[in-house]
Amino acid sequence: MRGRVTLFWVLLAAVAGFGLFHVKYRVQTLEDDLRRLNAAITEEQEQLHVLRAEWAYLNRPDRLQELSERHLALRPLRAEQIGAIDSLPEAAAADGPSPLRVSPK
Amino acid sequence: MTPKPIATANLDGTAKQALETGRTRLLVGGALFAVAFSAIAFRLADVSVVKPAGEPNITASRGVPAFTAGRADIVDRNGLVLATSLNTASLYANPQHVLDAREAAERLSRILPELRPAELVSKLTSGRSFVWIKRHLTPRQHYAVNRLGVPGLYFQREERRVYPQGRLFSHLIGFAGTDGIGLAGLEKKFNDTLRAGAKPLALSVDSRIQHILRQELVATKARFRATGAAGVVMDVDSGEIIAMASLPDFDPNLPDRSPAKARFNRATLGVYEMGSTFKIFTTAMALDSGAVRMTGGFDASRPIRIARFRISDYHGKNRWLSVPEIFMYSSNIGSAKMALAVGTRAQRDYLDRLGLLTAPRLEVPEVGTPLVPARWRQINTMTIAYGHGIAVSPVQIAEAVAAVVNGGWRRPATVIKPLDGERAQGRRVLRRQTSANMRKLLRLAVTGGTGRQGEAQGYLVGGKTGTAEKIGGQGYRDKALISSFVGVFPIHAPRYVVLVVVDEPHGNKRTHGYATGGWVAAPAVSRLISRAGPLLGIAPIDEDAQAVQRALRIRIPTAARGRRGHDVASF
Repeated sequence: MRGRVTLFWVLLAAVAGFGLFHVKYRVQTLEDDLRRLNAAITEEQEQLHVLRAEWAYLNRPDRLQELSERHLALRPLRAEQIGAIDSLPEAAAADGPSPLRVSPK
Repeated sequence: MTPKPIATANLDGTAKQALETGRTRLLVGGALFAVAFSAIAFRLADVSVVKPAGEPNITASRGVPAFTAGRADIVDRNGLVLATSLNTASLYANPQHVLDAREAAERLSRILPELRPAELVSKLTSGRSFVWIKRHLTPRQHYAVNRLGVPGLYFQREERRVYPQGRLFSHLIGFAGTDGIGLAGLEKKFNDTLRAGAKPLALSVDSRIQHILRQELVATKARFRATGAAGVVMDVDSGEIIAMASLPDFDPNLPDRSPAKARFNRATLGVYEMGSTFKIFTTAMALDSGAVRMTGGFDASRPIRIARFRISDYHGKNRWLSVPEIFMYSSNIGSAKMALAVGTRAQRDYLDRLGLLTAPRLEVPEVGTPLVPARWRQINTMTIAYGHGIAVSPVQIAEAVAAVVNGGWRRPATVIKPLDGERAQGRRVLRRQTSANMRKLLRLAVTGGTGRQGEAQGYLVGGKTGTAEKIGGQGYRDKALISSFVGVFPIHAPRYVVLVVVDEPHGNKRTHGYATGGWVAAPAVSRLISRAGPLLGIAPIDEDAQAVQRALRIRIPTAARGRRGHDVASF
């Protein structure tokens, strides 16, 4: 009887000890993971920061203007080109195709 | 307490006593341990079983350490980065670790072509233990050098202030030195806030408008071979500066490469005699104080002689002129008489209220203090009426004109974007009716007066030209002019004021030799408004609309005292 009780307690102590160390190591691994992830996030943030600076640099208005003049047929908008919906002739809207659908010639 | 003797038979007195003592001690010790253990057991049960809710099961996240790159960014009103700090890698070598200096030098110079191989070899064979190869590599260069895998090359992380927009905002933002301390512009003013590295500093400027302004200034300066130019675009209601530029300028990334002269901010630090632009304020105060009415006028048939001065007209009409005509034809004689009617004291009060006598409260550190007469005599009153004898900075003019046209409210100019819904407290400086009349007059000066070239189709510009002779060694120099134009659009319901000032322009064939504000600065303002209008979200205005016509209808009395006047709808 005495022996069995002793054995029970010894086993219990062993299981508890094992459990304790198991949890401890898992926490340590998680901590390492967290540290690594945090470092990676910081690095990504820094790269984002650099990319934002590059984005701003590439979006310089003078550069965009030069590129647009070289590659696109776009010109600055003139006031005459802007009109109000109300100023469109009514007949076009009532009958015939929608003015928005008419393809440019 | 005395324990019961169990086996005492074969023990004599002393041994028995010793045993007794031992037993007692054991018992006391045992009892103490029992108490301690039960305390621990109790506490254990208490912590683990009874109240586990006292502590959370999962620890709170400590959060991701926030990334900081030293100085905070500066961004424009749309969030575009204007100044930022980058952690750059600087390349250095430990020559003692370099195995093959010749090969290393050759491969390095392929990535960094500005370094000469011969120089690199001598550096890499110097036998020292530290030698800089190149400071502040670009990320691409950093990667390429890393990929070489040459032993003995190392990187040092350094912080560098970068201005992606280059010269676009040179004077406004200024620059920070290599040690990360702001030395000019907003970098200097907000040095402590920026170093604290919190949120980005958001400015009120719009990069697109700034670009247009700078481009027009560059073109104007080149076309008229001027020594400098400055421009301001300001929101008339909030006082926010949308664009502000000064030429010549410099590259804030390399501030040492440009002459010190280029650092001078003409828009805020420079004070100039603005010439006829001041007639806006003279007319406004005359109307506001009741010294004269819109239908009134003055005899401008012959020059005024006072002391050793002679005040005459540039576009002389040599007859009685009504108030609208004085403004439209920019008559010095009429304006001087108008100022006399207002009186010296009232003139000074009005100018002070418009913020023209004291340095403006702008956020940049480079703010010029206006030059005003120490003793304000009658002659000063008369010359100040047409903008001579008083020198103010362009940004002050923009702020004062905004107050004249926006219904009479003066709001301090600012380059910082206000928080949502926040608006600077205004101070009423003119009556509403005065402001409405001034808008009519400003429109008249563009449709029928000296500012014709300031018109921008569809945007209803109102404005006033100004041409002043610069003070030289002895008195005024005829050929050195300050030519300016201040435009407001759309004039029937003003949104923005645009000021362009050109320093010492020279006339050319296309302007028939003229270098006045109407020929030099007004066309620049016109082009700027045409280009910026759509970007600022201003729909082109139908000039024939009734509301517009009503807002701008003006009666110009021509002959004596306005009895036989005629109506002019001014567009």
